[in-house]
Amino acid sequence: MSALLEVIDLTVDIPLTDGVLHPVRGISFSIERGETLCVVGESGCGKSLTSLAIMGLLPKRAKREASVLRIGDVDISKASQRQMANVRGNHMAMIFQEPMTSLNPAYTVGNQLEEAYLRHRSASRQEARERAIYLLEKVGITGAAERLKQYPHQLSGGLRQRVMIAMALMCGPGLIIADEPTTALDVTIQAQILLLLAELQREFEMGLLLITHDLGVVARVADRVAVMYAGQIVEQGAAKEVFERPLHPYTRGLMGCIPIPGKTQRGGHLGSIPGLVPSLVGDMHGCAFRDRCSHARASCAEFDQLKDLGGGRAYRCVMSVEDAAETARETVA
Amino acid sequence: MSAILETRDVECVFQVGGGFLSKKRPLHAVNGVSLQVEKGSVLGLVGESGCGKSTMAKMLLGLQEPTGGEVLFDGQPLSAMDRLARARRVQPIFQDPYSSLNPRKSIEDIVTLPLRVHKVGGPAEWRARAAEMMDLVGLSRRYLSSYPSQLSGGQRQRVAIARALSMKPEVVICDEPTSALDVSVQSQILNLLIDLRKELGLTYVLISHNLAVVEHIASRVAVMYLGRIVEEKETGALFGNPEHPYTQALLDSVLTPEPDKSVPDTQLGATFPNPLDPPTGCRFHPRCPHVMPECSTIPPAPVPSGDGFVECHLREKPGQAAA
Repeated sequence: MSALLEVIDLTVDIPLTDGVLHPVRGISFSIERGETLCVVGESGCGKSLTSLAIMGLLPKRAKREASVLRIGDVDISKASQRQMANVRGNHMAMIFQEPMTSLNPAYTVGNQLEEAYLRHRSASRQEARERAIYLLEKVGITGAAERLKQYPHQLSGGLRQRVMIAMALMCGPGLIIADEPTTALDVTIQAQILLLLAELQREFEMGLLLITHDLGVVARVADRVAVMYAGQIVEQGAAKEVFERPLHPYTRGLMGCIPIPGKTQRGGHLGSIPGLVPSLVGDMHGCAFRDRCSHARASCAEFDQLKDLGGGRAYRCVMSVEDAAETARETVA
Repeated sequence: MSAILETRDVECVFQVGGGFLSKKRPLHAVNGVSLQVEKGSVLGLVGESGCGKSTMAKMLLGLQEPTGGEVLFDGQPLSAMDRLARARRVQPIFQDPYSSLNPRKSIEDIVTLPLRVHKVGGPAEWRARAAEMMDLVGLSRRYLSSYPSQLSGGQRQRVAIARALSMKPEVVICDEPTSALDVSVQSQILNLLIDLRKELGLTYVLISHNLAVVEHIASRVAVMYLGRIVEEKETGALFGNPEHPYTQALLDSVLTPEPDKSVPDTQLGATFPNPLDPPTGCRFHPRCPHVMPECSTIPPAPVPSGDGFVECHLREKPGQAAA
């Protein structure tokens, strides 16, 4: 079986004045058609740089390496800028967090929607326009033909994000990468946009790589989850599995931090993760989470390996599965 | 009366627009809000962006003069109070700890600024109080000589809290205090706010769009829509039995980390109405799934419900309750 997107051992290094920053340190995952993979983690864990690395949109001084980086049958690990330009928007497209800054304020919505289609398909303006109207209607925008003449500032945040989604779909890409697509939106609009993304993904059988910090979003839309910490995947697996039986102490810690109406005791203390994220500058050894982990032991300073449990389930912790389950029970009790 | 903070029918109208040859138009950011905050309680104020929550916060702080109605602090009109006297009793904590701290001042300067403004004590006392405040908010004293840029987001928010509490205020207005923070840091700050309230007997007004957070710490919740409170009640009652269709939709939209559930379909139209041209009648009627003919013409009056109220025509006629 060949996955839609395959990433093996992706690293990103950024040289700084006081050493080399390692924001992404050897990440491997794959996405099938019609599948949603959520990458979840806190700020600075490298989740956004991972998506930019796949899109080939990293800052110039950043160095990307990967043993495999493939979308469909295109090897993008060694693709030139020109080749990448043919892939971007065509085979994969990206939806960014802030729809106001990712749309060009000086061009009409129609102009921006049609641009990619004209670039990748040898289509006429008329065809591009029809495609744009078709997709605007698909994303739930009424009066699509009129909207094409509007400028981004004339649209609300929710509408802008719908336009962004329509734009990403213009060339019928196999993969959508959405980086915090609903973080800037109100909760009611967030639910609508997520619902829309899920529907479109099913209809067009696309792979969806969703990057978010919100475990609530992950739980509701993900098929599979990858939890990132300090540039590494510390746990991955089917969403249900990860939420019901988290194996890494960081995953458990994150889940304990969120109040859940009706479940957490009101006014009681929430769980918290003491300490700070380690610096990713310079060489790193051992488990990156050990300084903040209540189960840390001497061997953690050496341990740095993703234990594969089969079936896409893996975690990066020195504790055995049984021990992890045991400590999970203790935390709950 | 034990209400420490009370608003009576407050209104805030901004005149906006007014370019060349075009007339200014009134924008009713807050349109007749009456609220009471009991001493020692936490009032949660929730609603979508643009509903007027932050304007409310500014009026409660005395930073924005209401254009109608009045804000009472301990029974006294806030507008009649001296600026310093007001600042001594009501303090804010803002959303973004990156822009609410002066980058050129050391943490000690920031935390003790209120003492210097109020001319309380001298340098020795200021230093002692700064150290005391750092202990209170769980920051190491060695950060006193640091600058905001050297601290993380969570640490900065702790500094903002220390500054707000350094004059021992009675009421703290928290405007989205954890929205800019990561979840693990958010929980630390929430725990701190919970502890401080118990320790110092503080009263909070907590403004947030995160309903899970509001449910967790608020004792009462007011739901705001286009400048009006549409439902106000004890937290448990509001979350257990939301009556206003808007409250129901808001609660349905909360994404809790429960993988067995899917994304909710809230049935709300996408467009938040233009506050310059609000809908007639009930302001929620264009988005309401239970809309009735009278909703578009008659604005609903508050109906008592439980220990609070709800503003909806559905509630005025018993027997026609929404599912």
